[in-house]
Amino acid sequence: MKESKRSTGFYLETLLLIGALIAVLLILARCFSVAERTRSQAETLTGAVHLARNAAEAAAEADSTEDLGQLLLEDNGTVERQRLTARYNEALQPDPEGSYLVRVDWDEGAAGLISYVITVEDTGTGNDLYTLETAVYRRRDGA
Amino acid sequence: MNRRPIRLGLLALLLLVITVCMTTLGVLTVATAQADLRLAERYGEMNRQQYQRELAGQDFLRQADETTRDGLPLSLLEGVTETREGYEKTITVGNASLKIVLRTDGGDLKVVAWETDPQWNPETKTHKLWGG
Repeated sequence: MKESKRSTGFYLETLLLIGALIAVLLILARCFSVAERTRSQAETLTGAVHLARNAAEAAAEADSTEDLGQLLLEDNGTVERQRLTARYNEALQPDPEGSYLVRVDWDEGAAGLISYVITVEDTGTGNDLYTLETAVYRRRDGA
Repeated sequence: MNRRPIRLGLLALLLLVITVCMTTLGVLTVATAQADLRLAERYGEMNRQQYQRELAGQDFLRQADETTRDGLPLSLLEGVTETREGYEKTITVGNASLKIVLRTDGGDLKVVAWETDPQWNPETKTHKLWGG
């Protein structure tokens, strides 16, 4: 009788221990999964900011929209009327199949001020990751 | 028949130690990932503010150019002060400001300075460690 009680106690304790262990493992798995998602989000955002900044610097450097195309494009995008689109991969290198889509929209004001809106999109989800606005003044005499 | 009792206590203790270690690692991983995301958001915001200053600066340059072409003094423009260096305007967005100094030479506009000054204010009072 005494032996049977001890055996039941042992099994109960083992079951409780295994239950607690499974619960802790599940919570930890969720913890690590959330951390991985957050880290990936941070990495994607940092990449998007780098690309937007790169495009803004190219816009500031370019003397014309053709120049901007030459600075930003290899075989990874196109220039339309007032929009340039370029794709980059996760290593931020030009790639026609890349997961980042950089859109540069510009509006040439009559007074020589060109306003740029740079948007970086995640092609996988279609969400805009980052938007940057800047402007460049080009004097009419070309100075 | 004297059986030796099975001791579960030591195993439970070992599992407890492993669980505590794993939990600590899990909490640290989440905290680090969240810090990474906050840093990335801050980096994005700082860049946005930098290019907002640039946008305002370029617009000021356009206004100044038009004013010079019209033969008017740059001091007529809003927020412009006349200094020894030339006509100065400071554009502040966020924690930094862009200082632009322009000079007019015979109807021609020249950019003398285009500088970003960070405005750093320490949150805690610094202590004097050594008087020298």
